[in-house]
Amino acid sequence: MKIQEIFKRYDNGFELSIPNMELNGNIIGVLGHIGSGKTSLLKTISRLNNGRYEFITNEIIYMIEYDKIPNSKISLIRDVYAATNQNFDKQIFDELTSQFDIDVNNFSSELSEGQRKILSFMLTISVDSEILLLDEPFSKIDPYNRKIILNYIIQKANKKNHIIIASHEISNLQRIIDQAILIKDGRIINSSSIENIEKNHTDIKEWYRENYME
Amino acid sequence: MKVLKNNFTIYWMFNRNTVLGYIVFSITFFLFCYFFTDVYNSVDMTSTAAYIVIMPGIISYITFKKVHLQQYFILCKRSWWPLLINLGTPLILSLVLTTFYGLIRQLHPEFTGIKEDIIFFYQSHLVSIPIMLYAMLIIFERKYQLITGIKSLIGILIYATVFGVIALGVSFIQDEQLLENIRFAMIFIITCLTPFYIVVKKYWRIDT
Repeated sequence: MKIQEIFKRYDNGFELSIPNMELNGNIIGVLGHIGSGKTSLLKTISRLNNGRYEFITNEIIYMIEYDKIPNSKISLIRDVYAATNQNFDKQIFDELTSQFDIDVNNFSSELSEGQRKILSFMLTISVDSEILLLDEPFSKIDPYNRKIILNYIIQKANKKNHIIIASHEISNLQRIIDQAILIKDGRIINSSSIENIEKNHTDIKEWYRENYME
Repeated sequence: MKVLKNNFTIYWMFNRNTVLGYIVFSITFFLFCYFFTDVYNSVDMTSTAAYIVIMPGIISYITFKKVHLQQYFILCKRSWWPLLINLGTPLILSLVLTTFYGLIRQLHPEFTGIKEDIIFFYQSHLVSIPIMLYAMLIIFERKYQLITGIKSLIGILIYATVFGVIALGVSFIQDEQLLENIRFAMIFIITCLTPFYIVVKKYWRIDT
């Protein structure tokens, strides 16, 4: 699967320009420093900004940023997702609420930052979309819940969905991704399968450092 | 149509209480005007017109602030619908409610106005539109940080200077009708066209 001609220019002069991005495997990790263009890439692909790209699918879902979830009852937010997206699986969502111990009768504003992050993950992973875009799904999450998130991502990937994850948590990513894409200054500087990385380097961190510091 | 339906579903499900509250409050207000204001040609007309001018802007502000555009765009893809729905729904509701009130007040035994009074209510909506647009601009600045910094200040200064020069220039015109037309055009540009242009331009550039 390929996404081509990804382009977005910001007022401050920063430019995201990726002529060709190949998705090899089900879980793809997008790595890079802060401000390298990871979030911009995900937002451009999901048309949350006015950037552009060429691709032939409408089945893309982006993990909503936790501070942009409407202040409403969680059950209502779930119902809105179900009403507007026919691929939303309420059963999975309800299963996740018990896994993460979140009460659907609570208001989203009553949740902690970490819980709201989990809520946005739950809303996204419950959608059976061709491509799922997860932006920093592990930040603000405790190790116990992080493990549950990792398990659900793997479970989802087994159903042949493409999951693109942008994250700084490199060691967590290494355990689950099939392909790593390295971004610097709005451009892809390297892309490799995890097998190749593990064959030629002690771990993904070494590969990251080697390519990023060049 | 599916995109419109989905956008409206999000709007309705998250803002149901606000919209229903607006309808109930409006009916209560109109009933108060109907039963307790005794001069059916000025007092209720003035208060109704003021209500029409202010309320759609307040409702647009509340609903547009409540649901972040990212939520609309994630579920329905990027489009103009969220903006149109947040502006259009209160306006259409206001038109329907005031039409209803305009008709029943004509049936009041002490009604002393003329049947064309209802047109005055419709005209009041023309003033409510720029207020709604300004409500959008406040949200653009406060929620999306789209109109900030020195750039917009310079823009306002240039704008004010251009209009100042035009105002000075037209003060030498002797033809009263022409002067009146120019004055009307300037007010229309400042209050309607400018906020409309800024809203459309800024909305398109929103990065959620």
